Amino acid sequence: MSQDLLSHLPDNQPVAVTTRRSVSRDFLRPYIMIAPALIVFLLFFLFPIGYMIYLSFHEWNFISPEKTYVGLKNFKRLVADPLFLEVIRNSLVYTFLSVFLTITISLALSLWLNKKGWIYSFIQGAVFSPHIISLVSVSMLWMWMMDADYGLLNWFVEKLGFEKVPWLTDPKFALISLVIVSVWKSVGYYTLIFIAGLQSIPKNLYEAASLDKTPKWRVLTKITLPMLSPTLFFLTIIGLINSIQVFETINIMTGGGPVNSTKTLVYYIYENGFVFFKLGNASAAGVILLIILTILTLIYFKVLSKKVHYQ
Amino acid sequence: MPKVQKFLNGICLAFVVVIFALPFVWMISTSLKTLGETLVFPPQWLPENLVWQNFVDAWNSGPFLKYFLNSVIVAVGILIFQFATVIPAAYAFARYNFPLKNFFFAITMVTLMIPAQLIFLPVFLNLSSWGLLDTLWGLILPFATSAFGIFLLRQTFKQVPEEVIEAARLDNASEWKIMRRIMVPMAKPTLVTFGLFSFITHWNDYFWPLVMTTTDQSRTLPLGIAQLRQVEGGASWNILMAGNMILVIPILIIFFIAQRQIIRAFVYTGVK
Amino acid sequence: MASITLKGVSKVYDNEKKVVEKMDLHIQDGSFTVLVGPSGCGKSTTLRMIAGFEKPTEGEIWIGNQLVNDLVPGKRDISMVFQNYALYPTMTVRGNIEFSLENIKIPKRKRKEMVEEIVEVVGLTEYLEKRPQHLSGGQRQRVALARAMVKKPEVFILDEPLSNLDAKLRGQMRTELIQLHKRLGTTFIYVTHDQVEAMSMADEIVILNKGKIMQQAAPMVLYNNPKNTFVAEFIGTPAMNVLPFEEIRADLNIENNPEITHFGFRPEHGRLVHSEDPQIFTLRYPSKIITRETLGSETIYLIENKLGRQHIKSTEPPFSEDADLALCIPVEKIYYFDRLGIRVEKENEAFPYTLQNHEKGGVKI
Repeated sequence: MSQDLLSHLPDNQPVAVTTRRSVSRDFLRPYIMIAPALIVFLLFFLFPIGYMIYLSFHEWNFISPEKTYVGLKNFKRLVADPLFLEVIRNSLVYTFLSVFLTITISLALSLWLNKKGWIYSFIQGAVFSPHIISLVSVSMLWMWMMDADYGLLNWFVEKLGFEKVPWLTDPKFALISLVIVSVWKSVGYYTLIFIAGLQSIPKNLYEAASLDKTPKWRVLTKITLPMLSPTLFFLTIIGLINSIQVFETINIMTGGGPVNSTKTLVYYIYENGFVFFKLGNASAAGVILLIILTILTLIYFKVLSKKVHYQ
Repeated sequence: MPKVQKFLNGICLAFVVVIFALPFVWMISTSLKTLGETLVFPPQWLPENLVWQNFVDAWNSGPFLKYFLNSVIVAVGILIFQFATVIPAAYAFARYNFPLKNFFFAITMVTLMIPAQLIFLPVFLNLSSWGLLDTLWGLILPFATSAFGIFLLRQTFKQVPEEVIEAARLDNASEWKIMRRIMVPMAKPTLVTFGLFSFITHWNDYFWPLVMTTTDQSRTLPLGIAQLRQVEGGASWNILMAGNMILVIPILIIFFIAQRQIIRAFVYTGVK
Repeated sequence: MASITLKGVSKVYDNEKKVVEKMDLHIQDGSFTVLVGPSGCGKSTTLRMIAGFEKPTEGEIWIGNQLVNDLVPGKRDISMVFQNYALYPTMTVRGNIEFSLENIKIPKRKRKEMVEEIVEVVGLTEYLEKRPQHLSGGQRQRVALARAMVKKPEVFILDEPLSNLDAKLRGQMRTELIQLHKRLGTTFIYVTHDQVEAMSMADEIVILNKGKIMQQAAPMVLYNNPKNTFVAEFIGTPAMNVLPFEEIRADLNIENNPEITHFGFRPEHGRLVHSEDPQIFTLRYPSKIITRETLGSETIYLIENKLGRQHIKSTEPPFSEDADLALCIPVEKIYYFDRLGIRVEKENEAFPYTLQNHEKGGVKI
């Protein structure tokens, strides 16, 4: 074949020939291109996980170089520790509550705000704005608004005829207060994603439905929601994964209290690692977090492959 | 929509705006009050005089210039590293076939699911043993790449029609040239989107600098603001809010200017 | 069954884009009417206004005896087949067809009956429990049809329903649609950009351009008696050759009619003969072939001569590409147009042109 292609050239014409050197360069190139990223992944993601799993089987207080192997002792201790169990309980309550509230509110908002016009664009922007400012600022702002004596929230509460609420100082309320802050910050983000999802539903479906004389509620339940279900599902899982990791609001607003009522998993790990220097313990808790996250991720991918994309 | 319904709808819309805007307004108002005016119940809406001194006090409560510069260096540094590592990797995954490609890509996707809050402890230990604790490098290097970015950019690169690349190869362009002069310019919107997302995220980051720094030398702005709580005994809410304004106002200004782009950046990355 | 009437209907978008301009249109009850025209001519917009998805900026829309301007689509007694089918992706075929019946509260047993009956008609009985994503394009098309038919509407609207199908399937569906129309007798309003489709299916064709009706008539009337150059060039493949009249004014013995600026003749009416051929025609020009498409049953030539370039369609055995030829244009097959493109008709012109003239070839001695 190559004979035919080259036969029209005079004999002394230089022809590009692949040398052995550039063949190996071609072969290496993709690896060179992905290498930097992969090195970072290895160093700062994968290796640390391995290290954490390793540490979870040891006891170490960071100061002395000695790491004592203790097998599953850390885990056994954790599972029996009432504080840890409360931590898990707090994490679950916080996570499910904030995800549930965020998703339902943002879904409702998206259906309502998915309209054209500068008013709606403005409101979409307003609802989204808490999401891009630092969580530090959001936390401190709400800490101020939730101040039991002088806070703005309690002014509204009294106006409505109730007594002042000790938002952050009463174990009964503290966790819910944190949920409120989280919902306020994230609702806008979820709302806009839902709106994007709503806009990707082909207009024709609604036109066909109107020709079919479909009442509004039926359009919602039979067309809009089913078409939105992939987004809904995705956001739920992402919401769960993100909520489990809550830390900043706790660190700034309550410090884990009062009476451990707002201590959640990541905060527990932080405390054990950085305050108490019980690194084996902290790592074990970290492994438990890893397991939870893995389960959530697996559920997501499993259902994703089953849940069909209606295209 | 009949008039009554329109009216009710308007009320509800106003209510929503209030819920989301009022806290900001309150923050502004508080930042301009005297301490006495804040510790008042029922709360006083407007300050008597605009106490700009609060901002000065907030700024002077710590080496804020240093905090600010650190924030800039870290956010920009992360962005530069990310572009440097993500663009080649995304390009390779998008347009080449090589052994173990799927395996390496799977690794990338796995790290997407690994949040900072999971691995901070072992990374802290590592950085400590490498002497990188309390340095700006310790704040930049762990984020030197982004699985998100690779995923996004790979999608974009995949959408470049094969014919364009073939034409370039026919014109004797080297692979690097193709990447630089053709693919990257075509991916500019995605790069801007991702850049915005990354910059804002890391500018606002509190958790990582909290864990990885121990002195003022490498602290960033969010940490500086959070530290305002510890000044004196009891909270000086007016100064606290003033400090937060310093953090919030630049972002809000950028947001008003580039609202569409920023929203698109965050929503796009969320919708994947 | 109902007729559709548009009185002075316009659709203007706020950037002053006039998509439909003061249109008066009457669609006969029970007819198969095709709206056809190039992209952007306003055919889809007109359709959507009839359906109720767009509100006319001005004018009245009547369905039967009812003014429907303010009536929602659901109340107009219309069914529509969308270009990309618009099937409900989360429901089965049965669910899709049943949906409208559920909304008007037809009892379950009756629904089952109606659905199964209609699904038989379109031949999809085995697919009742499948979802749209598991069906081929043609099958989805049929589901869309079934869904539209089961409602037994007054008017059937079809918006380019065949454009997403491959050529063979398209031909098949065309015949099925024609048979369907005969069977149901419902008014069909069909939109397409394909003039072949329009010609083959329509009782009456409405040709649209830039929001205005160019001509509305039965297919053969459009073919034989176009009112303007747009229609003349739109109908027929290849299009009619329209050329400046100046070139032939001297050769023709007609009264000096100053309004005529262009003339046209159809590719299938022009005759190519060898230069040596002794036949004398009033209009005869030496030509050479530029391109030639041999399609088997006919050959399409692009030729060049003093008049310019024209397409000629011939069923004779193909000429060789370097042949010395002459183009002969029968005078009675010529159409005359003025400078606005409007047809200039002589009072005593015979219409339609009879076959005898064609056979004679209009030879003038």
